[in-house]
Amino acid sequence: MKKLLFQRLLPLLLCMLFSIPVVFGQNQVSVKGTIVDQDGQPVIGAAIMVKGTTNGVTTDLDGNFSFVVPAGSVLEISSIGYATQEVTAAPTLNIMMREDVTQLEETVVVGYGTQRKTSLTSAISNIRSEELTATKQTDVLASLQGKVPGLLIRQRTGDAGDFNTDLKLRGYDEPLVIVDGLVRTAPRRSQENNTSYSNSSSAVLAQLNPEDIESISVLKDASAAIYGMGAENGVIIVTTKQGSIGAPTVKYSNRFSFGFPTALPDEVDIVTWFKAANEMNANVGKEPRYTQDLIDHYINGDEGWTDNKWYSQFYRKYSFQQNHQVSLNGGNNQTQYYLSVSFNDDNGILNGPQLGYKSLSWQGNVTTNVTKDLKIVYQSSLSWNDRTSTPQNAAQNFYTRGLYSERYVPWNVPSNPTHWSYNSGNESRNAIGALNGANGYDKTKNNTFTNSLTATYTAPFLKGLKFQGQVSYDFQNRETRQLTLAFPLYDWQTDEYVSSNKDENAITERWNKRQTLYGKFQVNYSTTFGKHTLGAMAATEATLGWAGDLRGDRKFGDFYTHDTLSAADVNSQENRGTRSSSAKAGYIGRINYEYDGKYMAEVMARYDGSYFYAPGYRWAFFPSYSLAWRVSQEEFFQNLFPWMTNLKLRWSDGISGGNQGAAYQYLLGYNKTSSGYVFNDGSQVSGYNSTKVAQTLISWTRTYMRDFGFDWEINRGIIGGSVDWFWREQTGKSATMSNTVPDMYGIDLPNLNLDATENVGIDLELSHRMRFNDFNYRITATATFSRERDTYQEAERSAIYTSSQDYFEKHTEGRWDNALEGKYYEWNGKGQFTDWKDIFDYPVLYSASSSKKSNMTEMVPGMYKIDDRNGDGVITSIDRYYSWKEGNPPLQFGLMLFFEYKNFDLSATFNGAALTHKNMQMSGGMGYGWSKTLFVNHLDHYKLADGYTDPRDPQSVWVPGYWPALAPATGAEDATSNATYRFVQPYSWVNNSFFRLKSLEIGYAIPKSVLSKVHLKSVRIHASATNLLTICNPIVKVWDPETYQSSRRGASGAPLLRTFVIGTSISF
Amino acid sequence: MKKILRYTFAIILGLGLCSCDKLFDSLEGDLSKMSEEDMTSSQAGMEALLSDVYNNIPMSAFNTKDLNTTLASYSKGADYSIDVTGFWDYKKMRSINYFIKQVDVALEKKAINKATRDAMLGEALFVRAYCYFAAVRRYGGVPIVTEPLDQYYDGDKNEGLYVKRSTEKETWDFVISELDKAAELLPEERNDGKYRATKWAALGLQSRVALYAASVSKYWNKESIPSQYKAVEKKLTYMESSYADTYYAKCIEACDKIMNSGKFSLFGGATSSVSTAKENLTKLFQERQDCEFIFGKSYNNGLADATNSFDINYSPNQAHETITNGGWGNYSVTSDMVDLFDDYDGNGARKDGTVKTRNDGKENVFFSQIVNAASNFDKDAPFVEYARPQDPFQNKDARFQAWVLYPGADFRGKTIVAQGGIWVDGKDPVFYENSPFTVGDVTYYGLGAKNEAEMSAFFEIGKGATSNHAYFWSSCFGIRKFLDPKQALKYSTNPWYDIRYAEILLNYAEAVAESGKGDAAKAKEVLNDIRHRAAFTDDVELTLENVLHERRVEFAFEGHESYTLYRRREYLNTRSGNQYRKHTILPVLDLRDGSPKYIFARVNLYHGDVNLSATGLNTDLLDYYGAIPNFNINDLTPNPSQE
Repeated sequence: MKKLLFQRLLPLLLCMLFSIPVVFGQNQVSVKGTIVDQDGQPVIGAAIMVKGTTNGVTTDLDGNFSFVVPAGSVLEISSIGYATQEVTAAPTLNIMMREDVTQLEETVVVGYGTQRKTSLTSAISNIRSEELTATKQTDVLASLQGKVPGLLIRQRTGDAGDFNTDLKLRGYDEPLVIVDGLVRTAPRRSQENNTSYSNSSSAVLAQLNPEDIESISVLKDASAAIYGMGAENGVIIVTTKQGSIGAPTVKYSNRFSFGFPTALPDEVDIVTWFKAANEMNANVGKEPRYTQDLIDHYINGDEGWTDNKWYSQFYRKYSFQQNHQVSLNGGNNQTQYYLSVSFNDDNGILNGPQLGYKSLSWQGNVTTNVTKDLKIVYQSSLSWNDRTSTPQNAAQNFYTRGLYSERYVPWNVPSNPTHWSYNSGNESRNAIGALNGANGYDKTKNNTFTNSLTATYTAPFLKGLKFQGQVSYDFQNRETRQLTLAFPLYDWQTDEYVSSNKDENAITERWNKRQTLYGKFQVNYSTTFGKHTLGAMAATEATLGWAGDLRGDRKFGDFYTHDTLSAADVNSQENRGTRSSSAKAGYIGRINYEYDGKYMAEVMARYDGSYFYAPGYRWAFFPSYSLAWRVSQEEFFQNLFPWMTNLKLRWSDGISGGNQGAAYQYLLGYNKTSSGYVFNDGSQVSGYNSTKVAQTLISWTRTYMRDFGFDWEINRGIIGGSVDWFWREQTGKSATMSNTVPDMYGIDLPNLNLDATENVGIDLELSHRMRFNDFNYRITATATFSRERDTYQEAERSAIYTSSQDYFEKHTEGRWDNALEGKYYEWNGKGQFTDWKDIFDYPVLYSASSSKKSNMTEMVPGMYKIDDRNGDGVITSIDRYYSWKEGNPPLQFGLMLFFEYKNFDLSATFNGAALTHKNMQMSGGMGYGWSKTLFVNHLDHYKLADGYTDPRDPQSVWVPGYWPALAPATGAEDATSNATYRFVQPYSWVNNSFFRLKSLEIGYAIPKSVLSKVHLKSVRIHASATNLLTICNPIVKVWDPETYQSSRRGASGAPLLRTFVIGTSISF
Repeated sequence: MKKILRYTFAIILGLGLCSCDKLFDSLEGDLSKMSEEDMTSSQAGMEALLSDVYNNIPMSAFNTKDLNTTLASYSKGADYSIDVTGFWDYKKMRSINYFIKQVDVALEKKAINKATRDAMLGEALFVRAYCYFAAVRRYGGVPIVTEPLDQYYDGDKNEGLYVKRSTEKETWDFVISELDKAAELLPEERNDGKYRATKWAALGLQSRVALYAASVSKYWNKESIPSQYKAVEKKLTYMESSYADTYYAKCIEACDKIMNSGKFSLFGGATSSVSTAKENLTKLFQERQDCEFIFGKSYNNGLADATNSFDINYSPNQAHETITNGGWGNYSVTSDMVDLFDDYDGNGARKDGTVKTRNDGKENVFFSQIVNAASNFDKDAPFVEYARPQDPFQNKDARFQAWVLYPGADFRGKTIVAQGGIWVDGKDPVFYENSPFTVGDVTYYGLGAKNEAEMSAFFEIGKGATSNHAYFWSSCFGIRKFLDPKQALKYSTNPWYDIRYAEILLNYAEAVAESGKGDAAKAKEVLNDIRHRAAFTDDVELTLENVLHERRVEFAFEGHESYTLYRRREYLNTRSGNQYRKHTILPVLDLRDGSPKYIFARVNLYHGDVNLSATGLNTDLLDYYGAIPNFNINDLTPNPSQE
């Protein structure tokens, strides 16, 4: 009864909320009706609108509606999943809605073809252009974030043109990216290293223009295996826009973006720092680090003494980026075209006038019907990227140098601002000088040119038979010029020359060229007879690649004139060049079968060859299959759960292949050794040696993939979702045979297909969409949990463990990845030491060789009492507990909200991660130990109640804080030996879970009625922001939780940015 | 139907486009490696392999082990660890063994002729013997592998791979007999490479090996190693004095062949002029002197950045080149070494060269830790006063003057300043501090000069790792041998004499003196030939003491000392008083009576003074045999120290 009441009340409430007050006037008609579907079931939430107005209502849970409209008005009835109808207003309307065939027939791009969405048998997610560009992100990667379950995207650094974003599917390595049928990679900058690039798939997505994309499919399970090599990590298929028939449409869009670091540590004022540094030394019984004279200059406000926050100076107040894009779309029955040009300019967040990134790209797709049966598509893209950054040496030392610089020293000499100052703290590397170009530059230009020609012949004699041939040629060219300059450093007070920075004047030019030629021949056949639908595909393809590079280095000595190789000293010249070629080929076959829209099966296989291996080991066979059952199509099910409009169970199982290690391991070869031997004075004979035996046995890795999942949907998408359990085992990973031969054999044993890794996890997706008159919204939540472990480690076959501790540290086989490699477990603390007496009384020693006395030198009040887990009186690594690891969190999730009301739209994307920790690495940049600054949050530390007259006095009273007492770390310039930070302490090993509002956008489309007067088709204005809000452990907030921990003490690379964007798109 | 057939044919053709392996075989292949075929098809290819074979020689060129003895020290710290270069690199051994097979492959292909093949084989045998020599001196008996063992690898038990250790004696005998084979094959002279091994190199090495084996035999039981050790029981680390005579005889035989060949002589020859001697002894190490060069290594590779950084590392602070991240001044010579150089008595005859610092003759009293408020310094000691800092060294052996830098020495246009303290009237002396004192109108400094650039020793000694003290000697003496006399160099190209004629003469003299075999008169003659080159005009008797003394002086800083101590089982014995310790002399500017004079205080070397007990080192005698690497995996008997 109660339920019934609620059922009846809800539509009423909804109507009250969303119906627009009805305008009464002459000839009003009261309309009342019911809306049902083909099966006679009520359609809930269908919108009934008076055409051309904003008047309207929605149906209740029984499909009923009623409202008053002007007589004779035309009503528009729409609902998601159904075809929109128009009827003339009448007092009673009983309407049957028909399923919208176009929506149900929605096709999805899969490997080597397309499939109807309902017929899919695998875990494939599909993103269409509208969804992708709902938020106007700079790049496709950012637009995908949070939208696909299992797709983990994480930004590492925020510098312009870095493309340093991790892309992982279900926690595996980078997936393949296929653009218009071709495997593509693009250069991505290695972290913290200016001159090294690696080709990656994530960079392809990062450099594509979101506006050019028609759809993206993500193949997560064995369905990816059809792409062969590299597909074991999943496949992302990108299809670019094709021209459409119609009058030419020009679309122009722009975007202006302002970026601010999401987190920059808040440094304490200089006097506080001086005192803290002296307190730090006093805590361990040392002389003050800074003299009272120096401190007094600041307290008295003496002229010429300024507080110089070197670290903060590295960054601009804000970065500015602009992007402009123009596209032209149109065509007739014969030929259609889509052309687009875009330009991007980003000055980056690093504070140097010459630094930044620019790119110009072009995409052109032309389709023409040569004859009735023959269609030809030509697609090409061009991109020019140009990036200027500091030379490698400068960049490598940036972040730490900033924190080590003495803050009382300004970056340039006040009396002579053209002179960069010498700072004893930063090892003669004035990083601000380097940022301003004094240290030289690194300029990299990447040019990519891709071309693809596809001919499709539809056989006139047999319906459903198609032949397709494709040829493509990609060309990638990279030029890097790096100039390193020595520059003089002067004493900031006297302006006397002190030393040069540590670099030599040198120049390096590097040209790198890659070419890829691809050919494919494919036959597709599909037919339907009775309730049977059958599809078949056979293809053969081959890829040839060539790569080469040429590099020249010269030094200038002291005489630098200008930045060409020829201007430098010829005697110092070095050059080198390499060349390589590669090839792979495959035969592909697939058969799909579907019965009555209920039962589906797919079998496919590849027979792949790679140049990597010895003849006889080059070719391998990789089969897979998948099954699906659309339970919702069964009559019994429809009777039982009429509201469940879709339920599909899926199962897939297959094998994919990959290459590992280096090519040509099967050849015995001699390498040039690093040194030669001089047989005669003045000339050297280069030496060659070979330390390995030839290995013919090594071949493909095999990755077994299984996925069980189901998709469900209630009431045609009002609520829906999917669940996937997945398992993957990668076997035959290259590993050196374990050391079972004696030294006397004298060779390294060859690598064989030995090691194996297993991944298990679950993907979840839940979505909800609804429309009430003009109001329309979608919510999608995704989550992925994924773990990895080594199931076979050849190295552990022969490992001899000397103790249980040794076993604990080295044996990883079978251990899930939160406890892998011995670094993902940490010590537990049992409360903090309250004072020196507490430390002295603690019965446990901090190392086997130490004594109680050395506990005193290794620990300070506020540090944790490490739990002596095995009770042997000494803290060793075996006393550690398992803990979640750093980086690549096992649990990641996303949430996307989209609201549309009339001409307004609002979208928000959240992402997050959990079950991960971060090591805040207290020994360095966090203001402790050897840096020259302290962050405000560290002021909450243990200190002596009465100043620091005699800190070692056991009677002293300490005031507790979050952080331990300040103490110099091992290696500190003025410390002797102090192992204070030898243990990762609970206060610095912190939970790094986070949840953040990744993007928020509001858009407004100017009404068509207004636009038609100025002959415009559409105008949309939008404003958005990224990284606006983050919920995380406040300790981690000092650095952004999304950046990875690295060796650089929490501060690595440029900070992530919080951006504010405004933009417009106009089409006419 | 016809149409369908046609299309079926087209499909088959299309699918067959990439016919299996042809695509892969059409690639250029692996361009980063050379094939075996490439290497063995030309003489140049074989020489490239041979270059790598030569690089395997465990030669201690310039990286001298003498710094671990009492004769010298790194400036930034004192190292006493017992250490001789060993060899346990069977990967290198495999490539040598593989090369030995390849010479015949190349001969068969006519890539090289018979003479070249013999020479290359001889070179490979020579290098292999050199490697096993390094192995046996460090580990005792080792597994002797003389061919690539590929045929024994079956992936299962691999039985043939577990080569057992030969006994120590077998290993020594193997090395000696291999050198006989090498001497047979190698040419007497080479016009295809002055630094390639010759017959004389093989014989020279043999004389060294035989002398080594003889010494180990004679002194093996000097401090008894209990026989319950498995390695001793199996004679893997076992020699006995009865073996010695055969080895001494072999050494004498090898030396005789070289001495009788008439091809070698001491560079410069006998002279009575100290300055001529000094000139010859400097020149000897600046460029290759063929008459004395038997085997060694060239560092003149024709490239701008040659590999030898000896000059930059060891030039004194007052005259050095600068390179990025480079150091210099890192070779201090101790007074233990300096005292060994004899004085000339005025008529060119030998006179004890111990530096006279005190009038009471107590030259074996060393002040320790005098840095601490001078508390351990005896102010009343009867110090000899000298007018100039160089005065105590004026009559020393030409070799001292050519090879050692001392206070007041002239070098590269500079006068070496190495002063360790200052003493003004009415105050305690100040050591190791550059304190200024003004006496009259003149300001004097504790370390001899106002600026650190004008001194070579003691600056900021003991100031911790980040200070510059490593660029300053911790003694008042530094190395001069091998340094360019005129200018500082970034990269020096001096050759390294691994085996020079003087060694053959001293090997001969030692073998004769030890065994009583051979020609004693000739032995005495050649011993004195070496002295006569250094402008001594008298003759000394052939005694073991005289031979060893001469060896220490003649081969100063050439890395022989640690091997001599090791083979004679004297490494841990104490030679000065009851201490194995490094010392120096601290020149102190004495201003007590208002006029500058110099006194010299004998002190323990600053570094190491703190950590060592008065009784010297306590290294385990078992350390004469190094630990066998991976003895478990290799299924080998461990050495005594590992039991």
